[in-house]
Amino acid sequence: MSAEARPVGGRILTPFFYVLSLLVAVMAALVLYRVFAGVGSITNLTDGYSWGIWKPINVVTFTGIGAGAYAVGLLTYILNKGKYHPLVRPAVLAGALGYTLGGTSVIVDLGRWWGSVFLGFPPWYNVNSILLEVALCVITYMAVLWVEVLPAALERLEVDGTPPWNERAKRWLPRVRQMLPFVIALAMLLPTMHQSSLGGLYMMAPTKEHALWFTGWLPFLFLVSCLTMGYGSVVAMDVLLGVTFRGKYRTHMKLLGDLAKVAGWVTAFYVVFRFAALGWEGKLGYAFRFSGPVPFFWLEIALFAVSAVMYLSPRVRANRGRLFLAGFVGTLAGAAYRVDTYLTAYDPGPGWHYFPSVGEVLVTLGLASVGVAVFLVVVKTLPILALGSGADASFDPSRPGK
Amino acid sequence: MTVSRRSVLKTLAATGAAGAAAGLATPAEASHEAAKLAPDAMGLLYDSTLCIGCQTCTVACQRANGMPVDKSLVSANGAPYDFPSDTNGYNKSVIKLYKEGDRYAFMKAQCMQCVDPACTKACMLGALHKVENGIVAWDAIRCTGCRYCQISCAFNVPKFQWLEAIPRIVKCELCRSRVDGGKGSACAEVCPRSAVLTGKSVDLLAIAKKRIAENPHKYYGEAGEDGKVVPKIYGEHDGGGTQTLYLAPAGISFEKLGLPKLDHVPPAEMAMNVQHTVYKGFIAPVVLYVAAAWAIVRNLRKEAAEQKAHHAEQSAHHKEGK
Amino acid sequence: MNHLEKSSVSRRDFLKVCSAAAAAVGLPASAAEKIAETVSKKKPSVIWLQFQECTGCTESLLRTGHPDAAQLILDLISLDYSETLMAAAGHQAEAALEQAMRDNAGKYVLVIEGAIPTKEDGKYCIIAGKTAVETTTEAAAKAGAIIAIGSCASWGGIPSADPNPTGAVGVSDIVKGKPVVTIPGCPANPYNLLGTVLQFATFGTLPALDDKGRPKFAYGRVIHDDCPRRPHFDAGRFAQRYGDEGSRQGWCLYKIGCKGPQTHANCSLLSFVDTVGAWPVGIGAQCFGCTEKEIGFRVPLFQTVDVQGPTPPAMYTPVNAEAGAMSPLATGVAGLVGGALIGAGLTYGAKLAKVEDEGKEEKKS
Repeated sequence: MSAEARPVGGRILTPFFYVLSLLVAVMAALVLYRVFAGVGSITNLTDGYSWGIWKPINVVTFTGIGAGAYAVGLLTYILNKGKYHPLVRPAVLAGALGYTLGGTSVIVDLGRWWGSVFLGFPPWYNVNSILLEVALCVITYMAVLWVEVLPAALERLEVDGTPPWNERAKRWLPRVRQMLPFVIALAMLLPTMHQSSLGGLYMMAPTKEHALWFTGWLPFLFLVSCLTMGYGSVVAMDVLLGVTFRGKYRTHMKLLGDLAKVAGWVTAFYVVFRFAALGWEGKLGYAFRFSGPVPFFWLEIALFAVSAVMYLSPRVRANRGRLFLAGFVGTLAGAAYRVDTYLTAYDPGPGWHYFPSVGEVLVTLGLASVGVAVFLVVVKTLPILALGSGADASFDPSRPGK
Repeated sequence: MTVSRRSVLKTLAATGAAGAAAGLATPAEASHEAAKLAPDAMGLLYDSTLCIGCQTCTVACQRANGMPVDKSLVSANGAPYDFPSDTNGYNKSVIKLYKEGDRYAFMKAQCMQCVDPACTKACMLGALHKVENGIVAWDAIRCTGCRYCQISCAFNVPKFQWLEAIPRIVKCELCRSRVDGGKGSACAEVCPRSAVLTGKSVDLLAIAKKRIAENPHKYYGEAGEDGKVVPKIYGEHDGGGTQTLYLAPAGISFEKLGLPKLDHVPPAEMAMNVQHTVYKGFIAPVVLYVAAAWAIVRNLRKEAAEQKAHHAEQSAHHKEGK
Repeated sequence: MNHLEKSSVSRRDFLKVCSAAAAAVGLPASAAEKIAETVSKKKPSVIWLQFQECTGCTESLLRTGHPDAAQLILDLISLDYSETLMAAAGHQAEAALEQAMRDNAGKYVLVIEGAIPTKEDGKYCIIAGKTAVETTTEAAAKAGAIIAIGSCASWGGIPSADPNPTGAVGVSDIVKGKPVVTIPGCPANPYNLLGTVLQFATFGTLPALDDKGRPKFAYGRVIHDDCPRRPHFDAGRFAQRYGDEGSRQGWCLYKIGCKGPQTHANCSLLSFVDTVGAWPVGIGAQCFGCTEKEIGFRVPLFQTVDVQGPTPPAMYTPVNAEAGAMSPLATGVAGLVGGALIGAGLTYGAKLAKVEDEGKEEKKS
């Protein structure tokens, strides 16, 4: 019997939820203050460091974590590895949340946020702008991801909804499911575009980006590392969910094990390619001049390498805790690469200094809390997780998205 | 194990196509044409050898542009000093001092009015754009305050009003919209030493060359390919050329005055090459989408067929089993 | 003190003048007493020659009137020969000169006012049958100290302006081998002269001189450095033409050609006619560099000059100002949060791994 996705149920207002809510409230207060007092009122941003931690963490790392939808989707839908299906829905939910948080953070960071309505006005588009492409892609992809979550909501409505909503859900589900292949295709295209362009943004700053990070390969490197982040976050998340909802949800150890192998090779490829690209551009020498951000380069490589080795070790794959660590370190590696590209390796010139303010840290923390809180609520109320016997459930292709 | 490797290679192939194309587009294959200096492009010539640091230009700039009072009134040394430490959200032009022992030289910091600006490429909705006479202007309505222009400008020119609820991006626009009723650039109008001149870039270039010809040893120069030191006009070719030109006193390099060392290619060139190669005609995304949609539909149909066959087999088994 | 008592000048007023003179020359306050003492015993002999000049420097000396110091100045020194002020004329005057040079040989202070023409054997200035060149040479030979007062005597002044038809030169070009103190100015500031003369009379020394023979106490700095309008210069407030808003407000005159930045003098500190503010810039006229040979009567009035000399104020905006905050609190909070999150993740995973291992061990056994 195939394991069906079902709401996990259980109490929503747990103590942990209250803690998260408190962090969210603090964040909300800070954001409200920022609306009236300016971006600089809660941040340490300056004209030299105009982007602080919000861009690399709230936007790029959160969406990188949300790239699990993309990473697993590629395997499941493009490479036809249907066995990974149980991992898709939670990954898509994480993706939808990650991107929504990223988008929210952008609005908070935008100095003239009301101007963003014109992102819906093509005559004003500057097609040269890499950031425009990122913005449009991310907005579209966010919508696509929530559309991908829609079947779960409709399924719940169909079963538990009050009439006439259950009837409406019943009618709409097949239509939505029919559309899904084309929506999923979009969900494969869009991240390819913007995850790479998020790295590509820094191709515009050759004089400020350290040689070890600045390269025409930035888009490609960001693309590959978003996959490693996606795999990492899916692995870590699935282990976490299995422990959090012990008894109701069981971690798909075999699936994660297979996923880990893929992740391991992709990560290994990333490390090799990183050095190859540096070698090709004659920049390897910089890696051995230990000044400025260079130690962070080695930290990144270490994190990637360690995660790759862990993924490829059968001993790691057999142990939940170690597998979790592999995924955690793998995600951390991708996050480190992003924070380094955006901040650590970015030097606007002498005299400029930056370190995130307390306000910036609290907003980041608050946004992360929103993500975790909403994820828990949705997983408890909508059919996202494949409960029951767990393990390798095959899925019914006549009902994709399940 | 074999399955994993194959699927891994497939994964990489699927995503590598776009990425590889991106990485292979080097500046050498210039699919992006760098802009050239227009004959009527307006610019500014600043001669550090003539500047006496009187700061009249800074005061005139404030008045001509109707700039509000600068809220950041603390000097670099932390002492109260009613002069800005840099251009910022309330100052479009500032005189700075370079000092080395007994030697000193002044430097006027303001927008370089690049021939091929990076900011106009970075700006999502074209708020920063080149207008008539090649001046780089900022449009309030289109700006979202994303500050990508600040990231992409190699000279750190665009400045942001960090403490305003309705912030602006602030930079010199050669007084194209003066509020005090004057005409032309205020800084050049008031400079007592003709250290600041504004006008057509080609004319200013000629003036700079004339000054150099009359007094070559007065100016900072760099060794050319033949090893001979030639007085240099910063902005003639730097960063693809800028309409704001600089002359420095002999012995004090432009880097010391705060101008970055750039080659003759606009800094945004490589990024534009990659971007335009990958997204040329939007072909690659469309192709990728079609390929993905086709693959997904085909895979789902294949799986559906297999499931059907599997069920048929199972029921046949059951029947037989009876 | 007799002669002073006779002229009913109080000791207090007398000491005031000595103090002013001492201060002007940079001597300590105690020198005033010594000056007063020396001078009251024997006044130094001064021979004052005048050649191509307008007598402005003499007039400037006489225009010190508070308190009635003109009289005092003439009583502090023994002006043994002055064509402007002496009562004698003709052969009597010539005789007075010869006698003064004879009686005070080696001791008298020779003050020369006016330029000395050199073209055509110096015939453009002949007094008492001798050319200026001859008279100068003769008088300088036996002088104890030689002072050239005014720009004309210092470097040629107006007579030497292009095309200099008379070949006018300063005293230093005629007198070689002996130090010549030059006190340029058009006119020279009388206290610069007074201070120099009194120092010589009291201590037998001349004040420190620069490479042009100018006393450093008066000519060591440029007008720009001591100008009361300097704050306006620093703030970018300039008069653009005579009578405009800026000039009415008393703003800096640099833009209309003030030569202050390159002119060495102490006019702004001492003023003239004993009146504060009585100097060109003080009354709204740009300094034209009257003390400087390369500037006065050479550089056009409205032409601006380079600002030289002292370095800009230390608080000037540097090329790379420090910007951006790095508060310890923020560092602490960020470190704490980041460290806590990463640490939590790693600990969690490690713990889970251990539990799993133990579980498996149990299963095995």
